[in-house]
Amino acid sequence: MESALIAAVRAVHFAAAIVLFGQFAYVGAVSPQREAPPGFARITAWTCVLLLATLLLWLGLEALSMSGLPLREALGVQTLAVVATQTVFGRVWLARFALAGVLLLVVSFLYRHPSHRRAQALGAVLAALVLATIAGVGHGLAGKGADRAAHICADALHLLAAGAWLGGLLPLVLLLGRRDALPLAVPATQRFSTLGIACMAAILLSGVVNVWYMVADVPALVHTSYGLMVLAKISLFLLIIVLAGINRSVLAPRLLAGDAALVSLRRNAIAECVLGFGIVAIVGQLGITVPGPHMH
Amino acid sequence: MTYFRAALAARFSRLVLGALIALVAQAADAHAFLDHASPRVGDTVHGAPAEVKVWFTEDLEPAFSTLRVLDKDGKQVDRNDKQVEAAVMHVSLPQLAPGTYRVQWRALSVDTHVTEGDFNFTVAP
Repeated sequence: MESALIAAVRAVHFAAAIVLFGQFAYVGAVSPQREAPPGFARITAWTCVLLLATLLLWLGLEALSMSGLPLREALGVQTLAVVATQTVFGRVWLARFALAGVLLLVVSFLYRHPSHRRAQALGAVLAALVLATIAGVGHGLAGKGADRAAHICADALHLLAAGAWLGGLLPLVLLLGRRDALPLAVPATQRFSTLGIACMAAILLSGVVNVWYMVADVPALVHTSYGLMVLAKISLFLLIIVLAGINRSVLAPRLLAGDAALVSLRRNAIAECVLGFGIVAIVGQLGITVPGPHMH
Repeated sequence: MTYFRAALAARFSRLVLGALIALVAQAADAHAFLDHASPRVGDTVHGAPAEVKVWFTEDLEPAFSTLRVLDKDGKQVDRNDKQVEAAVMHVSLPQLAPGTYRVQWRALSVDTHVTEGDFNFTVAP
């Protein structure tokens, strides 16, 4: 039961971190005048609250899982303190909680001053750290020495690239939905396309690093529930690639022709978002699933 | 030109697939399982061992990892002084009488996954 809850909380937490970082990535790399995208203040504020809430839930659920104690004892101060101070997860959790707390202050400031450049830059750095440090509690820890460091770095790069791409797509969708979208949509779409290619390259690079470490386990993946989830994830990702390709090659060049392309572009971008967050949901579950080769 | 593009697309697709598989395959080492133990799993040893030592496939969190040695009646017979060093967990033993003993372990890996198991060994006179 707690495993399912951990998977759900992880997925929501990842999604919140991605949405949050994506907002700042959009401001820095997509928005033509570095203007805050539609809904920036509300989205960053609420996702930051969600980020902190899911962090707290995650700690409680991990304490329950790690200790094996009944609920009341597992959530007692003593057990939570041991988890937070005597485990790798806990120490990274403390750092991430502090980062998310400061980020909430910055986001609160941006709620009233959404175009404040320095606050935007600080928010971007904090959101990037909150997202990238998820790698510090991930499966990269399973390795040793330099391999562990390389694996964690690859995971962090992967998270940031996915965050900029998927998280940055959301404000683009909102922009494309505005009545006066067309003048802004052309440069925003072009810039997002460039960002998307850079992110894809980073995702592939970090993925290749992981192949280097884990390729021996690939054949067993197809015979287990773990493997089926992997295949689902790959299928969703390939669909995203196809949609992104259509957007870049077919729809974006036609954008100047009128609203019809804009509507199609927005529809495809929404579909990419849905598929992308579907992948995030799968990743939440994958992290707690035993891979086939290790089922003894 | 078309052939070149098709070849490039095929290569790109393979790269995407490889990267994706790797991303999820990274969890393959993500649980600490028993690698080997001393005394060995199911082994018969002549003379009482001074300790039970278990090697795992991944580094452990000392805080919530446990190692216990039980006699045939389920009574704990180790010195209750479990220690964890990276991926190795050990507990010392008093002078054990001949008989079969059960080793119960619970391992919390550094990436937060819990695994449990047990095995027997026999002390022969």
